[in-house]
Amino acid sequence: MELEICDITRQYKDKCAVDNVSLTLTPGVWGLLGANGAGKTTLMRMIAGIQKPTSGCIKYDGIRIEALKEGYRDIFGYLPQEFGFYPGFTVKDYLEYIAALKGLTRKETKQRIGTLLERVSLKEVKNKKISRLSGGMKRRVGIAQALLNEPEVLVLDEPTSGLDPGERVKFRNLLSEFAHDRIVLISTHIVSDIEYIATCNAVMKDGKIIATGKTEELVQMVAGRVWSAGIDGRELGACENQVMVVNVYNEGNGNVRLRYLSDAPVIPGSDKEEPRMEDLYLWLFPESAGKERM
Amino acid sequence: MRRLFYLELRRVVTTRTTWVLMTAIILLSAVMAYFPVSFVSAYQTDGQGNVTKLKGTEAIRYLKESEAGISGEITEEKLRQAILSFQECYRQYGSAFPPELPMEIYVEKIEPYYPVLKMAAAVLAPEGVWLETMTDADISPEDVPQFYEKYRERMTERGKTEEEQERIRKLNEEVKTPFTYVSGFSSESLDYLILYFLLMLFAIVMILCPVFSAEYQTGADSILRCTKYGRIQLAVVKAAVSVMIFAVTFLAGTGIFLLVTNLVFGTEGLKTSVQMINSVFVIPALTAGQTQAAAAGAGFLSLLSTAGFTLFLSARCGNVQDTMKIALPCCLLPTIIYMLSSANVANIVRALLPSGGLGLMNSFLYELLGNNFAHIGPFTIWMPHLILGAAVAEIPLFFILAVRTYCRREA
Repeated sequence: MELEICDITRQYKDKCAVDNVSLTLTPGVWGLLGANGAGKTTLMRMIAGIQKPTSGCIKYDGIRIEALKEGYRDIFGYLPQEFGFYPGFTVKDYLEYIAALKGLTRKETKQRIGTLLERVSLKEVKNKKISRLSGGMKRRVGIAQALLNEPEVLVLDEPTSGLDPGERVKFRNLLSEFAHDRIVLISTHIVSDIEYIATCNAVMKDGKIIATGKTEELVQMVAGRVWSAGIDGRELGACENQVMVVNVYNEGNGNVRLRYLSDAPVIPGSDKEEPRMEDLYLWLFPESAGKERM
Repeated sequence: MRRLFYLELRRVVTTRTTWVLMTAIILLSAVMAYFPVSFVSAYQTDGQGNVTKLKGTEAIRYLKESEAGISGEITEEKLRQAILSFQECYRQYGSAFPPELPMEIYVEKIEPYYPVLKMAAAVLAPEGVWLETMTDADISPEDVPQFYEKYRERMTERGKTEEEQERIRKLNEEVKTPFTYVSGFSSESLDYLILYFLLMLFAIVMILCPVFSAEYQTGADSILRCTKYGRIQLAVVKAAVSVMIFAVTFLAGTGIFLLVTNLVFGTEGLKTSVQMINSVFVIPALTAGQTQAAAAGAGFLSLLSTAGFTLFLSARCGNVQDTMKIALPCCLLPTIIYMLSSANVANIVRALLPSGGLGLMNSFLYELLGNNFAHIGPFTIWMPHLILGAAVAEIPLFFILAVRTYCRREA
């Protein structure tokens, strides 16, 4: 099983949203990392077949997805970043409707909806109108619909936005279990989600894939650049101007401990730290923290 | 696919706008069908010279009794009697209508012959003279044997060109003479049927505008398009559900309308020749009942064609508001064109528009009862034929375009 993205470009009037991207996705959870406007959503929509590339193609097991048509959509699940529900539908109505669109039989529909509602903790609200659900619940309905047909290729755009930490943990477990022998592509701003479950990552910047690899491999890009140091809390402002601060931990007594990125230790008494995905993210996308790389 | 059709139907029907509009338009049919009843009036005398004005169902019942003498084929004898009665009144009172003519005389001598007199005046009186302005010298019982011959001659003269006259002659050949008249049919009920179709048009457009565009607007189609049956099958199902909703609304609404009309006015009046309804100079060979059926059938086709056009717009526009902003004015465009111009090009354009058969003054029915022709190249086409032809061609065209536009659109 292989999803091959071959030199795809998506050009809008004055912007190249996806620029000559090539990537081969194999079974496992793939994290797609990138700042806002990096082209992640456009790439995912092209994989979903709802946007056409200006050039290039996407192949599933060697066959172009346009040629596979229904055959591709039959093994595909998609959760867009933003999507609408029918206001009059209950959770169950909606899932039944999507199940019919996915070609599930009545028996399969009943069984799958029952299982999924339990897995995404929506069983109690199955007869509630979707319009009356909270943002997190709506998101879980979206996740459930994407999993209805047990897709071989699952693309989730920001699936955890709006979920509380408990729900996120549940979602990660569900996905890890589900991803066995399937291709799952997730884009998220919540780097820890990817860190926990992604077997491989692709990093996107300005429409291009700038790096791919396992989490351990990717974080090596910032190996030797992650430091921590204890400082007086009053010096924090000055330090923030000097280095790219990843996080600040309050140690009490007016002292704070900084985790920062820098090619070399800048603050006296700095200790070298093990790099994490969050460090890599900030290193690659300093603008997301409102900084320029130091 | 059957399950998808059922689920989509359930989804659309349970949408508040849909069921409110559907219920309203179906219920409105009974109200609108009953309106023309209130317009019927007749005068009755009690034998002592007292005249009472009857209205509604009482008037309908009374007119049926009073016009019993002319019921059936309008023979030469009936025409002669009607003219003689008119002349007698006119000569004695200087007019055949109140106030000059005493009401009790009018009720006795004119009212029972009114439909025949009206028709006789239109055919036999000089051009530009009609029953209310006609004198006893304008019409003579001696002209009666040539009545139907003169009718066909004058009918043909309505054509503005030789081609039109030839077309009228051909179309009018099948009109059976003598005409038939059976009291009880109201031309107002046809007018109200047309008005009802116009209101139904707006309701249907409002129901169908969101079919595709609401999905784009909310982003729901991003998910739908990624499903196995989310492209052509879903588009076809949506179109089929739209047709179903329209058909049910139309059949229920029109069915109730015709049922109420024909129950109140009576079905016997449906046998009346269309030439006896309003104007005698009507081209086709139809009875009132057939005219009613033709108006309903053409209404169905024009509404279905507009439904297809609305779906196409819905598949094309990014949101419901834009769809409505285009669809609603487009529905009124034939009426606007009719009011602005009666030129040949204007006639062709309005007939070709999806709602070409619907409107207050420009509907299929008025074209059926009129004698307008469109000239396209060497062809002279009677307007009702052009309207029907356009609707029949546009129905599959717009539905195919709607499905194709939805499938080709990027989410």
